[in-house]
Amino acid sequence: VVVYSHRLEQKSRELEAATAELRQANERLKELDRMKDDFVSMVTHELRTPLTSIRAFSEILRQDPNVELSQRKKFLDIITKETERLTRLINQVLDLSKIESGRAEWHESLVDMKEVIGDSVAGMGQVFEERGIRVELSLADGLPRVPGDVDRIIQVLLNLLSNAAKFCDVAGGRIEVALSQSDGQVRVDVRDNGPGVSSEDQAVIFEKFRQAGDVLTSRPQGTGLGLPISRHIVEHHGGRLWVESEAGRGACFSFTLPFRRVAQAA
Amino acid sequence: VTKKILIADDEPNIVTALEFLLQRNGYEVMIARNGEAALKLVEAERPDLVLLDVMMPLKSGYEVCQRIRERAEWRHIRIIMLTAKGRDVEMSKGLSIGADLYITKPFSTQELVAKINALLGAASS
Repeated sequence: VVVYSHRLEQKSRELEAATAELRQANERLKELDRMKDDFVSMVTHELRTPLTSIRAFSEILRQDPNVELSQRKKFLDIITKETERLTRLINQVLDLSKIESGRAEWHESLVDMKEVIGDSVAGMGQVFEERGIRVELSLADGLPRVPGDVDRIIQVLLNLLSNAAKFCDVAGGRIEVALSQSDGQVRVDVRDNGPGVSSEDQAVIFEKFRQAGDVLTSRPQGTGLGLPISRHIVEHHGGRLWVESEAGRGACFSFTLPFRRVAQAA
Repeated sequence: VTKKILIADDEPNIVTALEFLLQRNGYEVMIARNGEAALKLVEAERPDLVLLDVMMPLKSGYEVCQRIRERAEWRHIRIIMLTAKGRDVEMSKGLSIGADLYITKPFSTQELVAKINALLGAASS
């Protein structure tokens, strides 16, 4: 009887542990479900918003033949811009869902980081020029190439550079891009002299649809998906993407890419 | 007397469209870019109708709607909630806290103007 009761106790303990595990798993599933709901709800909102402007201005222009020429032009510009915004969002949502579900195709080659940084900065040349932004490069020579998907790495660089351009100081914008190596990795830093990212915002800007900025004025342009996508890409390569900043003193976004791929990340 | 409409929305392009549309239809228009500014304008200007976006900074459209409905002297103010969240749950929430109408974005501008005309016509008679 003693042996039997001892066994029973043990069984009951096992059962309790299993129940606790199940409960935890259930909580995790619920959390995932909630996150999916939030995501769908945000996508819906972000899709409907530009559609609202497009529809409203199209109808105004169609129904009202007396809209002045300058206003007509302004409204058509808004329609065009909102269409672009919608297209960008759709592309990014599709891109993110492909990456997250593991259906993205990765084309691996050996990437010369100095070269792709140069190309990316050159590609942004017009934007920098329009906004009067000075770009300073300090790129280490002779680094080994890193294994990776060159288009995806360029996507990350363009995202960081356009973010930096967006938030740069209006008068005398400056962006510094640095390439270095340590501990078997390359490191890229993109530093701007904008308002910086407050410590509260640093935690959320890598989440989907969360943007930093003063909500009292206008929201910054962008989909709120650029950084989450970039982080996924960098982590796929086995690297890390993070931000260092103090409010009011600019922001520095950095990422690393290992020279050797240790394991295939998701 | 020209009727006053307050547009409360944080999306500049939508505000531009609504402002143009309502002015063309003979209304006096005021604009708030967040929930707190909306309440201040309601207090100062006593609009006849408020077009209220749900997702706004500082105070949501729901909160603004509730605050307006709490005050007896503001009972005549018509409230139309505008939202880009197209869910039935949201709609019943909006109506249960006292909005007169709940309209999903994107909307037909003609229908919106017709509904505003109807609400304000009914209120004045």
